[in-house]
Amino acid sequence: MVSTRQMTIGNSGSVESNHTSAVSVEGPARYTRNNASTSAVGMQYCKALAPVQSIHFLDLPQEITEKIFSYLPFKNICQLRLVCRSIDFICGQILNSTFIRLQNQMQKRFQEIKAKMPRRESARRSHYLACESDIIETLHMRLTLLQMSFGKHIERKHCCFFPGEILDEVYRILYYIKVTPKLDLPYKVTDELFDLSTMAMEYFKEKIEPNLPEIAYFNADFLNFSGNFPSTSSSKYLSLDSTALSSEVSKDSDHVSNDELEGEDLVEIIPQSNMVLRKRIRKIKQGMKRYNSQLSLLRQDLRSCKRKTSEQQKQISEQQKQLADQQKQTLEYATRLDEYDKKNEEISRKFSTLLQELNKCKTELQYWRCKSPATSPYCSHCGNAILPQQELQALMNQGVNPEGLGLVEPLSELVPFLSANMELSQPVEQEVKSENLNKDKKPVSEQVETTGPLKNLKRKNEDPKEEVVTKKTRRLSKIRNKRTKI
Amino acid sequence: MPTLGTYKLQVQEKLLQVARLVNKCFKTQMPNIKLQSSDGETFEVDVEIAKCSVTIKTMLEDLGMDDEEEEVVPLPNVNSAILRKVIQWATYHKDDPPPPEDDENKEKRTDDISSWDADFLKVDQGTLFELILAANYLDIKGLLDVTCKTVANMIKGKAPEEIRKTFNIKNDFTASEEEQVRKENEWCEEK
Repeated sequence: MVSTRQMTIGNSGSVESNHTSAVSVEGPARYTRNNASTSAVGMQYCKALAPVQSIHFLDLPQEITEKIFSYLPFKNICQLRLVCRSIDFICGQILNSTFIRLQNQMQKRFQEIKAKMPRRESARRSHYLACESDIIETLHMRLTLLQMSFGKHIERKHCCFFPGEILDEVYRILYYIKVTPKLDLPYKVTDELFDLSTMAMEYFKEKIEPNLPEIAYFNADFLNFSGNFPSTSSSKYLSLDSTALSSEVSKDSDHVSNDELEGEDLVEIIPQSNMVLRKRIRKIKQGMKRYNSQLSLLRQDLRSCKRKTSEQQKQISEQQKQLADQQKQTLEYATRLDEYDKKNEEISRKFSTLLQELNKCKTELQYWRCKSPATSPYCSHCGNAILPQQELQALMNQGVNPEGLGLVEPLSELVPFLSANMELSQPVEQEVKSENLNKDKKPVSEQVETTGPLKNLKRKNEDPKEEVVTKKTRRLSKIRNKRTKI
Repeated sequence: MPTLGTYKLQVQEKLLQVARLVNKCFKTQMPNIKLQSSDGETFEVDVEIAKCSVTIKTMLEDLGMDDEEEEVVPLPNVNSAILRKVIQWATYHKDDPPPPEDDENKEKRTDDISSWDADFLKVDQGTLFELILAANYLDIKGLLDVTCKTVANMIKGKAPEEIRKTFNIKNDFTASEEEQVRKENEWCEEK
């Protein structure tokens, strides 16, 4: 199949020989006859039918473009990068991904082959895999070295893995390992790779890296951090208080993003490391300023909070004082109430004694009424003074001292009589009573005469007493009323 | 008594039966499938040929559409001209062994296009790209490979300016960008 193809190519090539020559002159002059002729075939197609084009090459989906490019050697892909931006992008992706894939592949393969080898160094040399192991180790080492110089810039998308020829060479070696039954002289196999990789690394360090943006290791994190900070702080502040602050913070964040952009641009333009460093320092200073302003805001907040808490503490202490006062007052009131209770008791006691006295007074009054001049104290029959023995006894029984009634004489006379009378038997007494009853009305006139002035005196004496009593009764009634009310 | 007319009718019936049988035999042997292009044209294709397309194959397997009733498979992403070309290619390659799986470390060659394919793909760029899209959509690996290889051959060994001319691509680099890429590519040039 291949031979027929080549024949057809040869034919077409001969038909359009002028094109072939043109291509081989213009293109990078490293192609075999085969390559040149195939390109001629391509030229023929596109020359014939280019104008009636409906779909553009760049309209093809990226996966298809990548598939098409996958048929090209990497060296060719590197040159394709010059065509246009989108192709440069795709080619860069292909080169980077292939480089990374090859690294991983080589590492895996190196470990696999190491696992198969004996542990002893001397035994390894005579092992059947020794040659392959050496080659793979060299591949792995070279790719790792390349990664060390290119890797960080590829990661940051500053450049792509431009030495595509190295990839071609790695694939060639892998293919060589695959198809060669007995490997020999490993250093010869990897000789070209050694040269290429060293060239690429040197070139990169001398010509390319100085123009690439400086990689500041700590700064990426810082930028990320500062990028994150406004959002978090704003949320914090919003949650804390003050709508005015939020606007401030948003301004701040805008400022930050602008700054970052500027910074990136400047970084790309200015290659000098000290300039870049200064820029970074400035950025850090800005960040510090930002933090400081935010800190001062926080401090203000804290101060106001403290003030508020002290005020509230004051209020609390005042209220506690008030509470204590009120408790004191209530205690006082309680004691006062107790006192009042005591007083009340006393008063009630007094009143009870008063009542008793009043009762006595009443009985006295009754007694004196009996003794009034309307009734003679003397017996009408015998002329003897009628002794109100029963009444006196009743008085005695009710606790009134008969001596205090002013009846000194008759009482002194009476007492022995009474006592004698008391000693007498009941029937005698009854007799006396009957006598008294009989004599009751007779000596009244006489008694009035004899005791007239005395009676008057007594009346005079009694009158204020009566008044006092009436007053007392009134009071009593009043108090009673009060009590019932209470 | 059977008349001539009745005989005629009987014979006709018999003939119809035979025709049906033959038809059925033919159908079971070579079942057909109808593919409809985006512009409404229908193509009747042998199922085995249609199964070159993994898309159609999985569709038939998943939906069980290999009954006697003739379903029409709509292919909205392929126009009639391209579908005709695809069927032509598939018919020619129907007996090919299934293409080997892609191996990363396989040597990449673009010079293994058969002369028939090379002739078949002597079409304008637009058709070629549309064929690529159709092969991609229908998942016909062989056709996709050969078309991509053809395009790769068109690119191979050309200077960027030639490629721009070939594919009508505008150079949208700024001077500094172009300079950087150029500089990067100079790493292995002899002094």
